[in-house]
Amino acid sequence: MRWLTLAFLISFQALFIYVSLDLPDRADPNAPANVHLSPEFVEQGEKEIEIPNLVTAVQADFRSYDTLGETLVIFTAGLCVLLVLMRGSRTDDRAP
Amino acid sequence: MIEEIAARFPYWMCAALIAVGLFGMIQKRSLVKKLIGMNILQSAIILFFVAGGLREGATLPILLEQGAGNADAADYVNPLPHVLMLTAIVVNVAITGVALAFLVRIHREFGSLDEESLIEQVRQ
Amino acid sequence: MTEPHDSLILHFIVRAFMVPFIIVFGIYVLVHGEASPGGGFQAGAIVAAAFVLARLTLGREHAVNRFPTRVLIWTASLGMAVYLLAGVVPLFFGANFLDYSQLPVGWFNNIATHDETLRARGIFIVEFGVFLAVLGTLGILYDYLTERYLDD
Repeated sequence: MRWLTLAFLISFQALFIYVSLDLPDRADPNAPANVHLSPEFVEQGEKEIEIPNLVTAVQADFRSYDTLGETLVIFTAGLCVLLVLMRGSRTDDRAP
Repeated sequence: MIEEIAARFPYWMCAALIAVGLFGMIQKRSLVKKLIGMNILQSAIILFFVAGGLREGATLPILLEQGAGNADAADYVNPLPHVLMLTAIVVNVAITGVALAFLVRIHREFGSLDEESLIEQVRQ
Repeated sequence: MTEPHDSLILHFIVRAFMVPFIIVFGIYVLVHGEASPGGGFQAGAIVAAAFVLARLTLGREHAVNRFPTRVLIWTASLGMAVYLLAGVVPLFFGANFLDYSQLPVGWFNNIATHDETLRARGIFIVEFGVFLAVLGTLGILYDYLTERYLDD
Protein backbone atom coordinates (compact mmCIF):
# COMPACT_ATOMS: atom_id res chain seq x y z
CA MET A 1 0.00 0.00 0.00
CA ARG A 2 2.77 2.37 0.90
CA TRP A 3 4.68 1.59 -2.28
CA LEU A 4 1.51 2.05 -4.32
CA THR A 5 1.06 5.49 -2.79
CA LEU A 6 4.66 6.42 -3.41
CA ALA A 7 4.46 5.26 -7.03
CA PHE A 8 1.31 7.33 -7.51
CA LEU A 9 2.91 10.42 -6.02
CA ILE A 10 6.13 10.04 -8.04
CA SER A 11 4.11 9.66 -11.23
CA PHE A 12 2.15 12.76 -10.22
CA GLN A 13 5.38 14.67 -9.79
CA ALA A 14 6.72 13.47 -13.14
CA LEU A 15 3.47 14.41 -14.87
CA PHE A 16 3.59 17.85 -13.27
CA ILE A 17 7.17 18.41 -14.41
CA TYR A 18 6.22 17.34 -17.93
CA VAL A 19 3.24 19.71 -17.96
CA SER A 20 5.22 22.57 -16.44
CA LEU A 21 7.46 22.66 -19.49
CA ASP A 22 4.55 24.32 -21.28
CA LEU A 23 4.04 26.94 -18.57
CA PRO A 24 5.51 30.39 -19.13
CA ASP A 25 8.74 31.16 -17.35
CA ARG A 26 8.49 32.36 -13.80
CA ALA A 27 8.43 36.17 -13.54
CA ASP A 28 8.18 36.48 -17.30
CA PRO A 29 6.94 39.97 -18.21
CA ASN A 30 5.57 38.62 -21.49
CA ALA A 31 3.49 35.83 -20.02
CA PRO A 32 -0.13 35.86 -21.27
CA ALA A 33 -1.54 36.73 -17.85
CA ASN A 34 0.77 39.70 -17.61
CA VAL A 35 0.16 40.92 -21.14
CA HIS A 36 -3.59 40.58 -21.53
CA LEU A 37 -5.07 40.52 -18.01
CA SER A 38 -2.93 42.69 -15.77
CA PRO A 39 -3.09 45.97 -17.79
CA GLU A 40 -6.87 45.71 -17.86
CA PHE A 41 -7.10 45.56 -14.08
CA VAL A 42 -4.48 48.23 -13.46
CA GLU A 43 -5.90 50.77 -15.88
CA GLN A 44 -9.57 50.15 -15.17
CA GLY A 45 -8.91 50.10 -11.45
CA GLU A 46 -7.08 53.40 -11.51
CA LYS A 47 -9.61 55.09 -13.77
CA GLU A 48 -12.88 53.91 -12.26
CA ILE A 49 -12.38 53.13 -8.60
CA GLU A 50 -9.82 55.63 -7.38
CA ILE A 51 -8.37 53.71 -4.48
CA PRO A 52 -4.69 52.82 -4.56
CA ASN A 53 -4.86 49.22 -3.41
CA LEU A 54 -5.68 47.31 -6.55
CA VAL A 55 -6.11 44.05 -4.68
CA THR A 56 -8.94 45.52 -2.63
CA ALA A 57 -10.39 47.16 -5.73
CA VAL A 58 -10.47 43.94 -7.70
CA GLN A 59 -11.67 41.93 -4.72
CA ALA A 60 -14.52 44.14 -3.57
CA ASP A 61 -15.63 45.77 -6.80
CA PHE A 62 -14.79 43.81 -9.93
CA ARG A 63 -15.20 40.45 -8.26
CA SER A 64 -17.70 41.37 -5.58
CA TYR A 65 -19.96 38.46 -6.47
CA ASP A 66 -17.03 36.19 -5.70
CA THR A 67 -16.41 37.88 -2.37
CA LEU A 68 -20.11 37.72 -1.52
CA GLY A 69 -20.20 34.00 -2.11
CA GLU A 70 -17.00 33.55 -0.20
CA THR A 71 -18.29 35.47 2.82
CA LEU A 72 -21.38 33.30 2.65
CA VAL A 73 -19.11 30.26 2.69
CA ILE A 74 -17.31 31.27 5.86
CA PHE A 75 -20.55 32.37 7.54
CA THR A 76 -22.13 29.02 6.66
CA ALA A 77 -19.05 27.28 8.05
CA GLY A 78 -19.53 29.08 11.35
CA LEU A 79 -23.18 28.08 11.49
CA CYS A 80 -22.22 24.51 10.55
CA VAL A 81 -19.74 24.26 13.44
CA LEU A 82 -22.39 25.70 15.73
CA LEU A 83 -24.94 23.10 14.68
CA VAL A 84 -22.56 20.13 14.67
CA LEU A 85 -21.20 20.78 18.14
CA MET A 86 -24.40 22.00 19.75
CA ARG A 87 -25.38 20.20 22.93
CA GLY A 88 -28.79 18.67 23.37
CA SER A 89 -29.28 17.32 19.87
CA ARG A 90 -30.89 13.91 19.54
CA THR A 91 -27.77 11.92 18.70
CA ASP A 92 -26.16 12.90 21.97
CA ASP A 93 -28.52 10.64 23.85
CA ARG A 94 -26.89 7.43 22.71
CA ALA A 95 -23.36 8.75 22.98
CA PRO A 96 -21.28 7.11 25.70
CA MET B 1 19.03 24.26 -19.98
CA ILE B 2 19.90 25.64 -16.56
CA GLU B 3 17.68 28.68 -17.14
CA GLU B 4 14.84 26.38 -18.12
CA ILE B 5 15.17 24.55 -14.84
CA ALA B 6 15.64 27.68 -12.76
CA ALA B 7 12.53 29.26 -14.26
CA ARG B 8 10.37 26.31 -13.26
CA PHE B 9 11.98 25.10 -10.07
CA PRO B 10 9.48 26.90 -7.72
CA TYR B 11 6.62 25.19 -9.56
CA TRP B 12 8.26 21.82 -9.05
CA MET B 13 8.74 22.52 -5.37
CA CYS B 14 5.06 23.43 -5.09
CA ALA B 15 4.22 20.13 -6.77
CA ALA B 16 6.45 18.37 -4.23
CA LEU B 17 4.52 20.04 -1.42
CA ILE B 18 1.26 18.93 -3.03
CA ALA B 19 2.68 15.40 -3.12
CA VAL B 20 3.53 15.65 0.59
CA GLY B 21 -0.01 16.73 1.36
CA LEU B 22 -1.48 13.94 -0.76
CA PHE B 23 0.77 11.43 0.98
CA GLY B 24 -0.54 12.57 4.32
CA MET B 25 -4.13 12.37 3.14
CA ILE B 26 -3.76 8.89 1.63
CA GLN B 27 -1.33 7.11 3.88
CA LYS B 28 -1.81 8.33 7.44
CA ARG B 29 -4.32 6.53 9.61
CA SER B 30 -5.18 9.32 12.03
CA LEU B 31 -7.88 11.67 10.83
CA VAL B 32 -6.10 14.66 12.36
CA LYS B 33 -3.01 13.89 10.30
CA LYS B 34 -5.18 13.62 7.20
CA LEU B 35 -6.53 17.09 7.97
CA ILE B 36 -3.00 18.45 8.36
CA GLY B 37 -2.12 16.89 5.00
CA MET B 38 -5.07 18.69 3.45
CA ASN B 39 -3.82 21.96 4.93
CA ILE B 40 -0.36 21.37 3.47
CA LEU B 41 -1.94 20.74 0.07
CA GLN B 42 -3.95 23.96 0.22
CA SER B 43 -0.89 25.96 1.25
CA ALA B 44 1.04 24.45 -1.65
CA ILE B 45 -1.65 25.53 -4.09
CA ILE B 46 -1.59 29.06 -2.63
CA LEU B 47 2.20 29.15 -2.99
CA PHE B 48 1.88 27.97 -6.59
CA PHE B 49 -0.51 30.75 -7.51
CA VAL B 50 1.49 33.45 -5.76
CA ALA B 51 4.71 32.25 -7.39
CA GLY B 52 2.96 32.27 -10.75
CA GLY B 53 1.80 35.83 -10.23
CA LEU B 54 5.33 37.17 -9.97
CA ARG B 55 6.60 39.55 -12.63
CA GLU B 56 10.07 40.77 -13.23
CA GLY B 57 10.67 44.49 -12.72
CA ALA B 58 7.29 45.12 -11.11
CA THR B 59 6.21 46.04 -7.62
CA LEU B 60 3.23 45.10 -5.54
CA PRO B 61 -0.20 46.12 -6.90
CA ILE B 62 -0.69 49.30 -4.90
CA LEU B 63 -0.64 52.45 -6.95
CA LEU B 64 2.20 54.76 -6.01
CA GLU B 65 0.51 57.89 -7.32
CA GLN B 66 -3.23 58.13 -7.02
CA GLY B 67 -5.30 60.12 -9.47
CA ALA B 68 -2.49 60.98 -11.83
CA GLY B 69 -4.00 58.79 -14.49
CA ASN B 70 -0.65 57.67 -15.82
CA ALA B 71 -0.17 54.32 -14.13
CA ASP B 72 1.97 52.03 -16.23
CA ALA B 73 0.69 48.49 -16.13
CA ALA B 74 4.23 47.17 -16.49
CA ASP B 75 5.11 48.56 -13.06
CA TYR B 76 2.65 46.45 -11.10
CA VAL B 77 2.22 42.73 -10.75
CA ASN B 78 -1.04 41.08 -11.70
CA PRO B 79 -3.48 41.60 -8.81
CA LEU B 80 -5.73 38.71 -9.76
CA PRO B 81 -3.74 35.80 -8.21
CA HIS B 82 -3.47 37.74 -4.96
CA VAL B 83 -7.23 38.29 -4.88
CA LEU B 84 -7.98 34.66 -5.62
CA MET B 85 -5.57 33.42 -2.98
CA LEU B 86 -6.90 35.89 -0.43
CA THR B 87 -10.32 34.33 -0.79
CA ALA B 88 -8.78 30.85 -0.89
CA ILE B 89 -7.06 31.39 2.47
CA VAL B 90 -10.32 32.34 4.14
CA VAL B 91 -12.11 29.39 2.60
CA ASN B 92 -9.28 27.19 3.90
CA VAL B 93 -9.94 28.50 7.41
CA ALA B 94 -13.63 27.69 7.00
CA ILE B 95 -12.89 24.18 5.72
CA THR B 96 -10.46 23.54 8.58
CA GLY B 97 -12.97 24.75 11.13
CA VAL B 98 -15.75 22.54 9.85
CA ALA B 99 -13.40 19.56 9.61
CA LEU B 100 -12.23 20.09 13.19
CA ALA B 101 -15.84 20.29 14.33
CA PHE B 102 -16.53 16.96 12.60
CA LEU B 103 -13.45 15.45 14.25
CA VAL B 104 -14.59 16.63 17.69
CA ARG B 105 -18.01 15.14 17.04
CA ILE B 106 -16.54 11.85 15.78
CA HIS B 107 -14.33 11.60 18.84
CA ARG B 108 -17.32 12.29 21.05
CA GLU B 109 -19.38 9.57 19.37
CA PHE B 110 -16.80 6.83 18.82
CA GLY B 111 -14.01 7.65 21.23
CA SER B 112 -11.33 7.33 18.56
CA LEU B 113 -9.90 9.11 15.56
CA ASP B 114 -8.10 6.12 14.10
CA GLU B 115 -9.30 5.16 10.65
CA GLU B 116 -9.19 1.38 11.06
CA SER B 117 -10.95 1.34 14.39
CA LEU B 118 -13.58 3.72 13.07
CA ILE B 119 -14.23 1.41 10.11
CA GLU B 120 -14.53 -1.58 12.44
CA GLN B 121 -16.94 0.26 14.72
CA VAL B 122 -19.08 1.34 11.79
CA ARG B 123 -19.23 -2.19 10.35
CA GLN B 124 -20.52 -3.73 13.56
CA MET C 1 -11.07 23.94 29.04
CA THR C 2 -7.98 25.72 30.29
CA GLU C 3 -8.23 27.54 33.56
CA PRO C 4 -6.88 31.08 33.67
CA HIS C 5 -3.67 31.70 35.49
CA ASP C 6 -3.96 34.11 38.36
CA SER C 7 -0.76 35.91 37.54
CA LEU C 8 -0.68 39.66 37.99
CA ILE C 9 1.99 40.11 35.32
CA LEU C 10 0.03 38.07 32.79
CA HIS C 11 -3.17 39.99 33.46
CA PHE C 12 -1.39 43.33 33.29
CA ILE C 13 0.49 42.60 30.08
CA VAL C 14 -2.48 41.09 28.28
CA ARG C 15 -5.15 43.52 29.44
CA ALA C 16 -3.13 46.71 29.31
CA PHE C 17 -0.91 46.13 26.32
CA MET C 18 -1.54 43.21 24.02
CA VAL C 19 -5.31 43.08 23.52
CA PRO C 20 -5.87 46.85 23.08
CA PHE C 21 -2.94 47.22 20.72
CA ILE C 22 -3.91 44.19 18.66
CA ILE C 23 -7.47 45.52 18.34
CA VAL C 24 -6.22 48.99 17.37
CA PHE C 25 -3.89 47.46 14.79
CA GLY C 26 -6.78 45.43 13.37
CA ILE C 27 -8.95 48.54 13.06
CA TYR C 28 -6.02 50.31 11.36
CA VAL C 29 -5.66 47.47 8.88
CA LEU C 30 -9.40 47.71 8.19
CA VAL C 31 -9.71 51.45 7.63
CA HIS C 32 -6.36 51.83 5.90
CA GLY C 33 -6.86 48.81 3.71
CA GLU C 34 -7.73 50.91 0.69
CA ALA C 35 -4.33 52.56 0.56
CA SER C 36 -1.99 49.94 1.92
CA PRO C 37 -1.94 46.16 2.25
CA GLY C 38 -4.95 45.14 4.24
CA GLY C 39 -8.65 44.65 4.07
CA GLY C 40 -11.60 43.07 5.73
CA PHE C 41 -10.34 39.50 5.95
CA GLN C 42 -7.00 40.39 7.48
CA ALA C 43 -8.52 42.84 9.97
CA GLY C 44 -11.12 40.29 11.02
CA ALA C 45 -8.45 37.68 11.58
CA ILE C 46 -6.30 40.08 13.64
CA VAL C 47 -9.14 41.21 15.91
CA ALA C 48 -10.30 37.62 16.29
CA ALA C 49 -6.74 36.79 17.38
CA ALA C 50 -7.05 39.43 20.10
CA PHE C 51 -10.30 37.86 21.29
CA VAL C 52 -8.80 34.38 21.31
CA LEU C 53 -5.80 35.66 23.28
CA ALA C 54 -8.10 37.21 25.86
CA ARG C 55 -10.12 34.01 26.10
CA LEU C 56 -6.97 31.92 26.50
CA THR C 57 -5.42 33.93 29.30
CA LEU C 58 -7.98 35.97 31.19
CA GLY C 59 -10.68 33.50 32.01
CA ARG C 60 -14.41 33.79 32.10
CA GLU C 61 -15.31 37.01 33.83
CA HIS C 62 -12.89 39.21 31.92
CA ALA C 63 -13.16 37.78 28.43
CA VAL C 64 -16.11 35.52 27.80
CA ASN C 65 -18.69 37.37 29.86
CA ARG C 66 -17.82 40.69 28.27
CA PHE C 67 -18.10 39.32 24.74
CA PRO C 68 -20.13 36.13 24.90
CA THR C 69 -20.64 33.69 22.08
CA ARG C 70 -24.16 34.82 21.22
CA VAL C 71 -22.80 38.32 20.60
CA LEU C 72 -20.30 36.80 18.18
CA ILE C 73 -23.11 35.00 16.35
CA TRP C 74 -24.99 38.29 16.05
CA THR C 75 -21.78 39.95 14.85
CA ALA C 76 -21.31 37.46 12.04
CA SER C 77 -24.95 37.77 11.03
CA LEU C 78 -24.70 41.56 11.08
CA GLY C 79 -21.66 41.49 8.81
CA MET C 80 -23.43 39.25 6.34
CA ALA C 81 -26.45 41.56 6.44
CA VAL C 82 -24.26 44.61 5.76
CA TYR C 83 -22.80 42.94 2.69
CA LEU C 84 -26.17 41.81 1.40
CA LEU C 85 -27.71 45.25 1.98
CA ALA C 86 -24.85 46.87 0.10
CA GLY C 87 -25.85 44.58 -2.75
CA VAL C 88 -29.62 44.97 -2.50
CA VAL C 89 -29.94 48.72 -1.85
CA PRO C 90 -28.74 49.76 -5.34
CA LEU C 91 -31.59 47.69 -6.79
CA PHE C 92 -34.06 50.27 -5.41
CA PHE C 93 -32.22 53.08 -7.17
CA GLY C 94 -32.44 51.47 -10.56
CA ALA C 95 -28.97 49.95 -10.70
CA ASN C 96 -27.66 46.44 -10.82
CA PHE C 97 -26.94 44.15 -7.89
CA LEU C 98 -23.77 45.27 -6.06
CA ASP C 99 -23.44 48.43 -8.16
CA TYR C 100 -21.83 50.67 -5.58
CA SER C 101 -21.96 53.83 -7.68
CA GLN C 102 -25.69 54.13 -6.92
CA LEU C 103 -25.39 53.76 -3.15
CA PRO C 104 -26.94 56.71 -1.28
CA VAL C 105 -23.83 57.60 0.68
CA GLY C 106 -23.01 60.86 -1.07
CA TRP C 107 -23.86 62.85 2.06
CA PHE C 108 -20.74 61.44 3.68
CA ASN C 109 -18.56 63.52 1.38
CA ASN C 110 -20.14 66.67 2.82
CA ILE C 111 -19.13 65.64 6.34
CA ALA C 112 -15.68 64.36 5.52
CA THR C 113 -13.02 66.81 4.58
CA HIS C 114 -12.08 65.09 1.35
CA ASP C 115 -14.05 63.66 -1.53
CA GLU C 116 -14.09 60.07 -2.54
CA THR C 117 -16.07 58.33 -5.20
CA LEU C 118 -19.12 56.35 -4.26
CA ARG C 119 -17.48 53.18 -5.45
CA ALA C 120 -14.67 53.63 -2.94
CA ARG C 121 -17.26 54.22 -0.19
CA GLY C 122 -19.08 51.08 -1.29
CA ILE C 123 -15.85 49.12 -1.11
CA PHE C 124 -15.33 50.32 2.45
CA ILE C 125 -18.88 49.31 3.42
CA VAL C 126 -18.37 45.87 1.94
CA GLU C 127 -15.01 45.46 3.67
CA PHE C 128 -16.65 46.40 6.97
CA GLY C 129 -19.26 43.71 6.45
CA VAL C 130 -16.58 41.16 5.64
CA PHE C 131 -14.65 42.26 8.75
CA LEU C 132 -17.63 41.65 11.01
CA ALA C 133 -18.44 38.32 9.38
CA VAL C 134 -14.89 36.96 9.63
CA LEU C 135 -14.48 38.22 13.21
CA GLY C 136 -17.70 36.60 14.35
CA THR C 137 -17.06 33.35 12.52
CA LEU C 138 -13.54 32.88 13.87
CA GLY C 139 -14.81 33.60 17.39
CA ILE C 140 -17.59 31.05 16.93
CA LEU C 141 -15.06 28.47 15.70
CA TYR C 142 -12.81 28.99 18.73
CA ASP C 143 -15.62 29.04 21.27
CA TYR C 144 -17.32 25.92 20.03
CA LEU C 145 -14.19 23.90 19.30
CA THR C 146 -12.83 24.49 22.79
CA GLU C 147 -16.24 23.89 24.38
CA ARG C 148 -16.34 27.22 26.13
CA TYR C 149 -20.04 27.33 25.42
CA LEU C 150 -20.89 24.63 27.93
CA ASP C 151 -22.02 26.82 30.80
CA ASP C 152 -22.80 29.84 28.70
